[in-house]
Amino acid sequence: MNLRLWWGMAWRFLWRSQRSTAALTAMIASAVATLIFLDALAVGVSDAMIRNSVSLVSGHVTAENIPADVAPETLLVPGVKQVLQRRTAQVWLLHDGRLAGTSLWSVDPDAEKNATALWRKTTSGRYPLPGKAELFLGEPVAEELGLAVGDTLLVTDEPGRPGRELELCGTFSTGIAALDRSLSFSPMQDNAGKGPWNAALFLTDGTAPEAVRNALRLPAETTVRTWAERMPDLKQLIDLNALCMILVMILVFFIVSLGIACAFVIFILKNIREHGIMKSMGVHTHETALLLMLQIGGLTLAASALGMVIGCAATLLASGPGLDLGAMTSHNQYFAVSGVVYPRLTLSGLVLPPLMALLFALLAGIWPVCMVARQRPAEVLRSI
Amino acid sequence: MIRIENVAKSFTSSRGLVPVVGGVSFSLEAGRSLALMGRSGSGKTTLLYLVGGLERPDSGRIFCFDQPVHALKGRNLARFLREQVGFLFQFGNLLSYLTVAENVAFPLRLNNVSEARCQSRVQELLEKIGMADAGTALPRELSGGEVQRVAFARAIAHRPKILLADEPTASLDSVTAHSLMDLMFRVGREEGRTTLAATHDPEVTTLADRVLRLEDGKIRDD
Repeated sequence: MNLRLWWGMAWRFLWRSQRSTAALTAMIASAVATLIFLDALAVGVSDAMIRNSVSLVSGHVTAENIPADVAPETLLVPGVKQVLQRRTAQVWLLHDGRLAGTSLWSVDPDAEKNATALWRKTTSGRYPLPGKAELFLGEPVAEELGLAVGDTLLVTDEPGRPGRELELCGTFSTGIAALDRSLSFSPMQDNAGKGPWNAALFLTDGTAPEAVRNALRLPAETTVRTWAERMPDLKQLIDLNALCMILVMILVFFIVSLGIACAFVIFILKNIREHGIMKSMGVHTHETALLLMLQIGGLTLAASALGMVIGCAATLLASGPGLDLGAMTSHNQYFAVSGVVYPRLTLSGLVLPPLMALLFALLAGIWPVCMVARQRPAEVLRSI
Repeated sequence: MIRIENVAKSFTSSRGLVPVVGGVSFSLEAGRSLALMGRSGSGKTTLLYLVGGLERPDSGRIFCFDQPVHALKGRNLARFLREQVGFLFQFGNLLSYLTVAENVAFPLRLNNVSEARCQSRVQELLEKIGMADAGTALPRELSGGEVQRVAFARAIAHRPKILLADEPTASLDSVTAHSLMDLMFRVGREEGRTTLAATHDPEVTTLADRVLRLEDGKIRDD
């Protein structure tokens, strides 16, 4: 079979029936471009949820119960941008005869402000200053204790036992009840002791948290968890998002393929005379099928390439400033820091739509190809 | 040599089974020309399609240069058509997406003729039909006579043993028709081609070696 001959014929058929080719190209290119952009948007939404969730306080990877003799620098494996050292204790807060339990995190305020976004959720006062005996508390707990910024409260391991006094320097509200009600922050004191500590690891863009976890060499008593393990609900939401995107792609191309099939039937019926003439000249059925499939495949590939360019351009255009979806995410805990979504291209998001376009177009082409293959040349010639 | 033995063909229509060719037998020696004359519906086109393998007879046998055309199918039929047969249709039936030169070159490319030989044969034929400058024109830019001349060039480009012409002059004025017929029979004789032409143009009788008159699918006069 002379592939060059049939490819040349397919090209001439497409090039010289410009209106039909343009209409089909527009249909396929717009479907591919739309899906590339939608996929980039879905990835951007997932990125935003992860970014919001990890940047608020917890980091991409956490390590708990790290022995005191392990230096924070040990955790700076490739892909780790920053390591935050923290010590946590379950304490009671007493003020004005009222009592509330909290998980008190002793932190380095400067490092925390540099890496996390919780301080941005300050509702009154300010974030603690290094070395000061201050407390940064969730707004609902502060209200329960009747605390205002500047008030002093007692922090103790057990009610009735002596403790230390801290000044409330500020309150925060993230909208995430579990966080607002259970966490409080205080600057790490030099004389705080050398017990086990916890770490929050912030990673560079594109680093897989699992790779970092595997690269860490920590004792057996230390528990290392990625954000996906710590927030399985978020992981499921992102997986669901990806699944929905694949379903959307299949549905879009199923609908588009019906359009493609109908368009190709019209396109091929318009040229049925040509196929009849070619058959009378000795063109075999499989060559006719090859010619039609080359037309369909060639057109789909060219249209997909155009769709990829348009889809990429639209994504790049939107990814610069980002899309502010704050109005739709303000009550969502996974958008606690910011509702701005930055569409992001991924290899699968870029490659899958054109591949699906090609697959569905070739499937859509089977029907018209069968129609032409079944036509007897004598019938076609008589109908001219 | 073309040998047709008691060939019959019917078509099913709303009126039932309609016999179109009924028990036709004749033979034609290689290199000779035959005009099939008859009114519309006399079975000329069907007989041509039967000889060219585009239709299969209900009964009877057809041999073209010892090939049992009545039994050919699939790849064998395709090879027979592309190598040994040239069809010239009433309205030219040029491939509308190909230029004049590409149309003429198509049967050559189908037979895997080298590009150099293909170009030289196309040029030779375009000169022969007086259209050497029209190679890049598309069929829609041609007159009816030009279309038929290009269709003739295409039909003989691959030097087929048999040329089957179905009313090739029906859509042409008498001057153009005569010029095309003259060209067809003259070139056929020069290249030793067996030619079967279905027509109701009485002038053909002076150009063809032999005339068969068909009436209701049967030979009335030889």
